[in-house]
Order: sequence, then structure tokens, then C-alpha cells
Amino acid sequence: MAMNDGIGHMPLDRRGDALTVAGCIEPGAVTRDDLMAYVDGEAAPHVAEHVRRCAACAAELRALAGAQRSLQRALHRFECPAPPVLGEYALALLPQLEQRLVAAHVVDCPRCTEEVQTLRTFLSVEPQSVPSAFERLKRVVATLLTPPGSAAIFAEFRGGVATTAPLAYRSEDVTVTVSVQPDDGGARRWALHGLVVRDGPSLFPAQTRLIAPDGTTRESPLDDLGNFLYEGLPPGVYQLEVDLPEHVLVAENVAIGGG
Amino acid sequence: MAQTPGQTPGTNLAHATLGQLAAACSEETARFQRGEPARTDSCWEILRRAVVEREHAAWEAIHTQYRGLVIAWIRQHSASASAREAEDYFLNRVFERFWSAIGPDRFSQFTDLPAILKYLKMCVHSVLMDDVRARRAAEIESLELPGVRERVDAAASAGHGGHGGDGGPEQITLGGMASDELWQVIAQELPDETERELVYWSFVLDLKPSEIHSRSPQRYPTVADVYRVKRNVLERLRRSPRLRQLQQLAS
Repeated sequence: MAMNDGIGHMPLDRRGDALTVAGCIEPGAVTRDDLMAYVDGEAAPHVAEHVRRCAACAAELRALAGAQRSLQRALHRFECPAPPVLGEYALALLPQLEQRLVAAHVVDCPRCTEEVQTLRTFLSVEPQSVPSAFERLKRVVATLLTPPGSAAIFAEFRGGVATTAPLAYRSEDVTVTVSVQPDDGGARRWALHGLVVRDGPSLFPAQTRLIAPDGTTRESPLDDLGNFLYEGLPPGVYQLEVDLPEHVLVAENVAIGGG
Repeated sequence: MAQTPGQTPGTNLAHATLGQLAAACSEETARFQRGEPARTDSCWEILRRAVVEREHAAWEAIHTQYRGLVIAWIRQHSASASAREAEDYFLNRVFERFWSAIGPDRFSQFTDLPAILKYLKMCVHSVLMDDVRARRAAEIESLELPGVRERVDAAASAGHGGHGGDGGPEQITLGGMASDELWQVIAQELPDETERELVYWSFVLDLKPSEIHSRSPQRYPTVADVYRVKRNVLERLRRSPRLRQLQQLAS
């Protein structure tokens, strides 16, 4: 039977010579079309079994798979717009002409249609919760550089003079120095002054948190010089946290008022 | 985040320090997340300084402020479960993409904070889609047929020529060739429009035979018809002198 390369003219007799691989150990058991189905991962189990036994069909299969893989590698979605372009298309941010061109492609391309649909669904739903700084950032416990009772830097502290020795904590390129003094507000209340210094030229906006022994949390932002302040604190052992872009710096065992 | 009526983003905040803005933005965002009415002008002003003024510190403030939100979006996306990279990798790519895509010239495209945050969220999607596409490309690259290699090797050592394995005479190896250039050659090799369409659907659009059958059931009444035409076309392309010549040029 002569091979006919035209569409629709190939005889579908599964036992025909044209569909049988030359040298097959069991002619008619498996056709070339079965091998094509195998390459696409959709063949019946007997095809795999036959290929394991038949060197000729295995070689033919490999040649078909190689050709398919080469074309897939070279052509796979080469006309599809890149994901950011598809995204801007979905948000209607592309110039008019490009918007029309991408629309025409999306209509024809199920993969791009799927990506756009996924994006629209994604944009329509907000997450149940946004991780807090505690959850989202690596927490690094700072090393206490200055043991209680020694002197350290004060010059940049916001007002006042520390009445207890400051404590300096260090983590990576950040140093946090804290000092405690009686609060003006009344007896047995204390104020915690702090200074955050980062090595290098730039400071950064950051938030600090002070966690009381009972778990109560207060927050204070850094000012432009890196100062922060907590007032009206009862005595106790607190934990101080500083949210940095890369991690949360944790200073443990900050004793206030002899706590 | 809803904007308070009558409030124009950036109004009266031009002289605020970044620290003040960051604190206010943090408060605005927290209120929004609690479902309370929230202003957006401080966050907007930081974004304006970051994008329009290209202030590095403002950009760091944006990163700090929205890092948690971006992580939540990454976790929410359907593609993140199968992603190959760590969360931090995607987080950095998202901000890089946002930063490089939105410059001073494009800032006016966004009328308010929700619009620009939607763009940031789109960046999350597009970065994850990059990963999905790369994984698919890697799958194609590593595609193997279990159990076949052993048989082919055995056949080769027994002197059975077959139709060639890796690097064989009828293997189409097109490394280094531009996709559109290859497509032009294929289009010339396949004068029949139906065949070209099948190749386009199979290899450019990455459709499975069952999808091709569903797309065009009159032309392909069964999936077996797709296999038949596809196999026929592949065999002809393998024998194509032009493609084999291109293979030699590419190698």
C-alpha cells in the first residue's frame, strides 16, 4: 500500500501495511498512530507492553517523540504575550492597538485565556488575612552588646538624661540602644527611650513594638533620626521588636523599673 | 482601600517626613484591614515619592508596608502550591517587576491607591505565571518515554537502524533557531492549511489531541484522527530536506 502524505487519505485499516512499522515483531498489533498516541501519553496499555518487546516499534516511537519534542521546544507558545503583557491587557492598561492584538491572540489561545481568567479570579478575591510582621518576617534575636551597668551612647537620644545604664543590642547591620528613666507622669511609671542606628548612609522608616509581661503590645514609629519612645510603662521585663525591611529584630529581657 | 471623599491623594502631605507618612500609612492600612473607613493619602504620597521622585527611602517604605500583603497574595494564588522557588524569591521578583514597570511617566495611569495596588497584585500573578511557563518548558526539555531508551539502545547495539535516536538522521534538532523563522519554514513545508493549523495548535498553542478534537470535531471526529494527521505531518517534517539543512546550520 502506497504512503499518502495528504490529509484524510491515509487508510485507517489498523492492520494495513502502511500503518505497521517495518520490522515489527507482531505486525498489526500496534500501528504508527498508536505510537503517536503513546508519545502524547494517551495510548492503551497494550501499546506500552508491545514497545517494551519490539525494538523496531521502540525505535520508531523514539523518532516520533524526538521530532515532537524538538518542535515543542522550538515553538512552544512563542507567539504568546509575556505574563506582564497579558496582565496589563487584563487591566486594560495597554495602548489601544496592542490591546486589540493581545485580545485577538487570547481569543485563539486557550493557555492565555486560562491565564487571564486565573488573573481575573485572583484579582477578585482578597486573602482572608494578611500576615502580621510577626508571621511574615524572619525574627532575629539581637545580641546584647552592653551589659547592664555600663555606659554607652546617649547623645542622639530625644531629650532627657538616662538614669539607668543604656543597653545596646546588635543584629546584622542594626544597633538598637535603649535607656529607661522615670516618667514625668507619676511614681512607678517609666519611659523607654530608644535609638535605632543602621550602618551606612540611610535610615529607613520602621515600626517598633513593646510587648509587656502580660502580652499587651504597644507600638511606636521611628522618627527621622531613628528615635522612638514609650511612656507610662509599669515595671517589668519587656520584649522590644523593631520591624526592619528584611527581618524583625527582637531584643529580649528589657528590664524596666527594676522589673 | 476606600478614599475619604474630597481627599486628593498627596494633598498637604508634600512636606511630611517619610517617617510620619510611614506611620500614618501603617495606621491607614490597619484600619482598612479591620474593615473601618480609611484614608489613603499617606500611602499614596509614599508611592508618589517612590515612583515619581524615585526616592530610595520611600521605596523601602513601600516594601516594608506592602511586603506582608504581597506575601498573602502569593500564598493565595492558585499557582503558588506547585511553585519551585521559595516565597522570598517571588516576593523580590514582584517588587522588581513593579518597580521596573511603573515609572514616573506611567504613574498618572493610576488614579488612586486601589488601582496601583491592583497592579502590584497583577505583578504577583505574572511572576507566578513566569514560573508556571518555565516549569512547562522544563517538562518538555526533560520529556522521556519510560522503558523506551533501553529498547532503542539494545536495538542499536544489535545493528537495527530504525529511524534514528538522539542525533539520528531523521531527528529534528533545531537548537539556536528562532521560533518565528522555524515557523516560516514549517509553513512552507506544509502547504495544506489544515496541516499547518494542526502543527500550530499542537506545538505553538500546546494543545493536547483531545483539545484539538474538541476544538474542531467536524475535522477530527475522533481523537484517533488527530493522532493520524499529527503522525503523518511529523513523519514528513522529519524527512524534510530544508529542516535537515537548517539543523546542520544550527548545529
